[in-house]
Amino acid sequence: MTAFFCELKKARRRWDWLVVAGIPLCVLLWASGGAPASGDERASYYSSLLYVLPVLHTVVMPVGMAALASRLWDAETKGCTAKLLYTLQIRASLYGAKTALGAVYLTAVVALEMAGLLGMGRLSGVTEPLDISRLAWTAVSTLAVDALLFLAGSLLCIRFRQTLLVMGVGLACSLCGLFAAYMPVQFAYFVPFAYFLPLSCVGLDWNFETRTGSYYALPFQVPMLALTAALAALLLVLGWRAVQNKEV
Amino acid sequence: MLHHCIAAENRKLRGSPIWVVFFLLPLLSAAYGTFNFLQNQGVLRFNWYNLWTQHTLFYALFFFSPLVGLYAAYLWRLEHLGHNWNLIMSQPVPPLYLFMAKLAVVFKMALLTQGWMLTLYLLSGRLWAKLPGLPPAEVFLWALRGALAAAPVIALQLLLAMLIRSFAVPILIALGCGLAGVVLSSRGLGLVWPYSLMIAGMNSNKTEDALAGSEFSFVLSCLVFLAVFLLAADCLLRKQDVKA
Repeated sequence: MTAFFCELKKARRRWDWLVVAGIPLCVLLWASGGAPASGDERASYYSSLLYVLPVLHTVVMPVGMAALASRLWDAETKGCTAKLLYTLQIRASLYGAKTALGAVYLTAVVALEMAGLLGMGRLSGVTEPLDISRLAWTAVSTLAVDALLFLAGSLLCIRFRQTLLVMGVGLACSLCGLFAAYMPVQFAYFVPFAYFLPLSCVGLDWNFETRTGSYYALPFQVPMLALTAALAALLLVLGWRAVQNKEV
Repeated sequence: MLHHCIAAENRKLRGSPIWVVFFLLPLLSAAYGTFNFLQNQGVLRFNWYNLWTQHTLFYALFFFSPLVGLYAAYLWRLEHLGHNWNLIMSQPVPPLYLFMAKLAVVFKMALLTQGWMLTLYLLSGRLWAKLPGLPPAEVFLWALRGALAAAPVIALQLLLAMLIRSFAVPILIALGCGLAGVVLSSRGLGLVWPYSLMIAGMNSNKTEDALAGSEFSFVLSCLVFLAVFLLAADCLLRKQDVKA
């Protein structure tokens, strides 16, 4: 617990909360571009938001999570504190505290985004009743993939001192994820940083002739969520091992 | 004096990992663009114009701003590490020269990126998509306009990276502002937001010229934004030293 409070103290003047608020803001700003203009659109606005969110996450989250991981670990790189921390503090507690703070940030990102989504619905006068189970599923699946991305970013930060690499990989993942968004959904299974897509709970049936679409509910992909959680757990262990074995 | 500053900044890029990002990101964008072009032949026409729209769509919309943000953040990060900030501020050169040297070097990188993107467009059109004939001359003009539109974005990103000592935050801001640029462009306000200028200049996702008749406004907008950001950098560097 002391290590966690130490991390909170380090974060006090780092303005991390602005980054935490900025990530959902990016997503919601982009989503606001498709605000409903007609009664028909208002009647399916929540579904359209839940449909489009995974694609927006695929672009924004790899960069956003790389930025958050970099904020937490770069403080030690810039302050040259590795020698001090890795010898005076129990390494597992350092890694645990940073990961716990990261978990708090990720929860805040998802909570802000879901609150923003509800706010957008209210402001636009949506007439569609909100399906709480789909909202909860979107929140949980977003949190799981965010955790996967954050832990991957943390691992890169621990292994390499170059923040450039972490952000470069984040941008590349974002681009590949976008690629996956326009491919058959099976392709996304091989792209873990785009798991937002196969975890989506709303589909769109698009009619090219009439240029209209209707949204439909997709089954919750529980095995996919379990796979995401397992990959995140693997990255957690890899990060812990990287901290344990790091030469200072 | 400025020439020496530019030479010093250039030296910092030698052997830098930034070149990996420089090569990789446009390559991914080109692979994606060509693949999408070939997969959507039911909707798109099989010509160089349509290949251009697919190549530049996501490149100009989402990735160019964070990419130049990354170049800018890298150059300032070197100054934010250790005691380098105090060292450069005590050099016998006007502080604005330091900023302008970085602007020149990042602009050179942006030009190279545009050139690399154009090369990939030609190669993938000719060798992968096997398009007949030559690409229209307009695409070279659009690439040049994209380079011009890059200048104010670079100046703003350098300003942000100078003020914000974090490496990652200015890149995230670039992504967010780029997304805001997409929304503003779709509402016809592309020329009043620096991050939208790239979309307009590159003629992304449009086969007819989006700037037809408003080229002067576009160039003026680029120059005004650039001047404002340079002035801001000058004021900040002269009067309000950045804490390091």
